[in-house]
Amino acid sequence: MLEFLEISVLGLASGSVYILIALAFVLVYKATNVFNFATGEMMMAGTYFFYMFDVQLGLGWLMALPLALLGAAILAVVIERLATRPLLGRPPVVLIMVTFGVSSIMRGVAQLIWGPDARTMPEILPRQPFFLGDMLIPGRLVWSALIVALIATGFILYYRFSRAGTAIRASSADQVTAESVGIDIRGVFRLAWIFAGIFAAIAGIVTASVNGVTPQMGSIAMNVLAVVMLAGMTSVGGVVVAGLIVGWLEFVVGWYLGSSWQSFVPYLLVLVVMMVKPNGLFGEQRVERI
Amino acid sequence: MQQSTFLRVSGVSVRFGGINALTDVSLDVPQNRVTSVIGPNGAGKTTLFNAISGFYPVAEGSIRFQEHDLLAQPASRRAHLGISRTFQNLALFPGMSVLENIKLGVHPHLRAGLLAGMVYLGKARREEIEATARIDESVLDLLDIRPYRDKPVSGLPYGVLKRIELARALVMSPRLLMLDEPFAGMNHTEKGQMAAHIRRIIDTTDVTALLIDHHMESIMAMSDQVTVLNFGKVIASGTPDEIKRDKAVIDAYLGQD
Repeated sequence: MLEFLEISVLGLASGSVYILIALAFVLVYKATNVFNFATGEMMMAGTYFFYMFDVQLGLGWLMALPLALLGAAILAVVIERLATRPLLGRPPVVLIMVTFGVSSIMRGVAQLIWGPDARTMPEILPRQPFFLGDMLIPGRLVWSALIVALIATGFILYYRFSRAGTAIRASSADQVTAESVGIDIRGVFRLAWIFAGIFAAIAGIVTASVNGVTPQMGSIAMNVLAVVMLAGMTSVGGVVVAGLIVGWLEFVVGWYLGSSWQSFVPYLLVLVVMMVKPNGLFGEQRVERI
Repeated sequence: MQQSTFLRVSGVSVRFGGINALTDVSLDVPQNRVTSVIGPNGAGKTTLFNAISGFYPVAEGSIRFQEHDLLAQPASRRAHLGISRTFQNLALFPGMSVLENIKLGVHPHLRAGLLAGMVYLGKARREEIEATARIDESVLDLLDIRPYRDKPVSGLPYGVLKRIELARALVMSPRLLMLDEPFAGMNHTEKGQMAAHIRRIIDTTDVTALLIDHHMESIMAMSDQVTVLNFGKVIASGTPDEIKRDKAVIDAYLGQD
């Protein structure tokens, strides 16, 4: 029993990174209707930015972190402006293919600059483990879960109550009406991409503190697809719950049944949910008016 | 009553592919008056509204609003100039409450910009509180929607939703209020109520109204001047009495081979 509890806590904590990546997917999808397959590469790029500022330029992590997030935000704006905005209004499949293209370009460029091998990231999160009763939880996991919890809570409050949050929600519901009440929807698109870039970068930096950074690290974002589908594509709050469910499930299944089960059981869950609730657990039904 | 030209649509054509949705349409909307555009379904009324709002590109012609060349402004800027509108199909945001929906009408007039509005503090917060107070004081009672203030919009009766949309268009006292088929889909009682609400708004504020509808009677009574569209062209313009006697209008409405 204690073992199960311990595994569960570890699973929930590791699911927290999924929440950030999933938020990056959902925000861009909600605001612009683009499913951004370059999210993983935005995560990878943000992580390399951090590595570059901290290790290669020796600025120290306190300086490197804001610079890396700034770089990630600028990169997101550039992708939005150059790759997706000229194509808005085209069939969704075109936009999806474009984000695929962008993702492979980014992997290629990262490999040219930093090489194919994994680079070890400096440790910024304390390793000191935490004790919860008899349970021992690695320090890094606790800290990363705390950071994610803080960011996710802050963001959801902001999204729910601030004016920019309202503007994003309004644009995602109906772009024409949003424009008619004076919302600058291009500004909203940009804002959504900026948030996505920053969230992806933070998720990348947290993940890489364990595994290091390689040009291929963006593939983690593919696991997050399960989270996004489970939550239902459009639900910001649902992503949090779904992230925890998938993280927990992966960890528990991996522990008891082995890693080959771990890689597909979450998808099995998603498949079942999609059959019962096609819009996901928390997704809104999008009714198209003709 | 002042009667300077306020909104002037001159020679506007809108084309979709090879189809001429509007051909050489000209229309003057005098200030503080009620101008209506009527015409059968498909005559181009909503297209004209969308050209004024900036949702459709204009192939030829110009649209001036006071001293501004409207066509040079993106759609979201036109709301800032004091143009607000409602839609033929309700355009409310279903996930939000009545208050939130109306508050979006205040959006363009808040001075703290989108990025400043990111932080729900200081100036942005004060403006937010002022906006709520403004809604509480002005439009809720004017349009009889106070009982619904904090309810989510999904599930409210149709007539109420139409009034909420009108409240959102009105909340910042626009200079030009464009109503796209305000009576569409309403039963007789709701039509009467809506007409009374619109009358009250026109009488008590100094808004200039531009209405479109395909139903002549409901709209003639409240208009100072009427323009009739058919197949994307202006076929008549004048006072309601002149329009009722106009041969071209009678033909368009009664049908003619």
